[in-house]
Amino acid sequence: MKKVILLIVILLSIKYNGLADEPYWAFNTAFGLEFFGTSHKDLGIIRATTLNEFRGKTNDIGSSFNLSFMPEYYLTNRFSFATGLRVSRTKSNYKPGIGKFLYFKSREDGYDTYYYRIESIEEKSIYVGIPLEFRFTIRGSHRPTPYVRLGATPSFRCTTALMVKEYHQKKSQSSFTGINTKKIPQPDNFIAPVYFAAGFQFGHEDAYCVEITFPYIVEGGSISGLQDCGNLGGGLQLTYQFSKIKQKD
Amino acid sequence: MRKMLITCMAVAALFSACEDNLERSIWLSDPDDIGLPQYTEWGYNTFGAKMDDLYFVSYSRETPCSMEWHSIDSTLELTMTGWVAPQDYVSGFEYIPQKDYMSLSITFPCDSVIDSQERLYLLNGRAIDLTDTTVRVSISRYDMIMIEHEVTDIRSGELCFKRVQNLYVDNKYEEAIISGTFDIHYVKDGEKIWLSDGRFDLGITNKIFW
Repeated sequence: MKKVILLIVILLSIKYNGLADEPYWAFNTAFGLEFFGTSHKDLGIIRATTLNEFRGKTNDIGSSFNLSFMPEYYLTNRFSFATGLRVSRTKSNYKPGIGKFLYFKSREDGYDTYYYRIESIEEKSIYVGIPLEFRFTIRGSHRPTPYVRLGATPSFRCTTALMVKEYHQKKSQSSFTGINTKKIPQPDNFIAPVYFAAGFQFGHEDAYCVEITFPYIVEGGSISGLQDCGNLGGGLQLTYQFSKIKQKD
Repeated sequence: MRKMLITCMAVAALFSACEDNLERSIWLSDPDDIGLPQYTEWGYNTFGAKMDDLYFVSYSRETPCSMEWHSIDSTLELTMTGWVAPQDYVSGFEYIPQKDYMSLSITFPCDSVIDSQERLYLLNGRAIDLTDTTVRVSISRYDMIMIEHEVTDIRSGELCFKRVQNLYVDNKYEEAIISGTFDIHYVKDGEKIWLSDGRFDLGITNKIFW
């Protein structure tokens, strides 16, 4: 956090010459996709597989797709900050490391224990957050225009959906109604991804931005109840910027 | 054509062997002592105990146990079959000389009839004092052939069924899972032998319940 503040102070102290300094507003619509590494978590409800010590696929990739609407305020042509609203949908899976199925412990009833064979568990969550981002345009007179962006998006979990795919050896076998998903842990309610991005802006009045996000670090909590998510990820974001409004004196 | 058919069958057998089933042994090392399996209640078909400087543990490629109901005297016999492993052994990669084979049998009386694995739940929570005169303990070791010796001088010992479950998979009865602990201190030929910190997690199907 201290490094972030220091970077902002450094950027604010830099003077720029030969540029229009009238502040103005712009509005952004952005689509982003981030990926991050995950590793198995002992859920306590999946039986270990034979061929390795772990109870599911050791490593997997989780993803987060987000949609943002953010007003952006340009202090100068080079430096701006943005905030707004971001809706993110995260996704992670739990699959066997090898073989076709896992034994899922659904419930215990006295002396009886019920396992179900499953192919996978898929988890999708929706987070709503308020991004706070700072952008620094590196070279304003060139097209396309390179820039860097630093941001954080404190987000709250709205909902999580779980889909357990049963294993059926025969097509005629009907679905089981006994799988109890209550024991599957949920993702954390609050997360705060912190990220750095670098990209290019095409155009000026109506602009398109393409950027690569790296690193994408999820702080504050885990976005998956199924897997231990590696903090470090990366991704891609596309932004459409429109409606530049100059501030009237 | 024949070679191709044999190759296809071998490949099919290999892939079918990769598919997990409940009869396989799954060894998860105890973090406090990697020579022993973790205490679990999943039916991982493992057992282990310290045997002085050695380990008496299940062998990953063999069915580690059997149970037999003796209707004549209403006793139940639990037999755990494994090997005596050195301190530095690595589970799963063992080559076991025949001389290291060992099995432990404990026969104890039951108040109720337990003539099938579905009725093993009656043992849930039961602790059996191995010094009781109604309990019989025998150990088999390899000496050209497996020879069974009854242990007559038991100084202390207990077999505890901490949890017994009836397991259903996809709503169909599959097996009983017996999980618990055991330890025995006995004397044989003037030598004191400790089997300590023993634990077992075994799946009992109708194939191994007699």
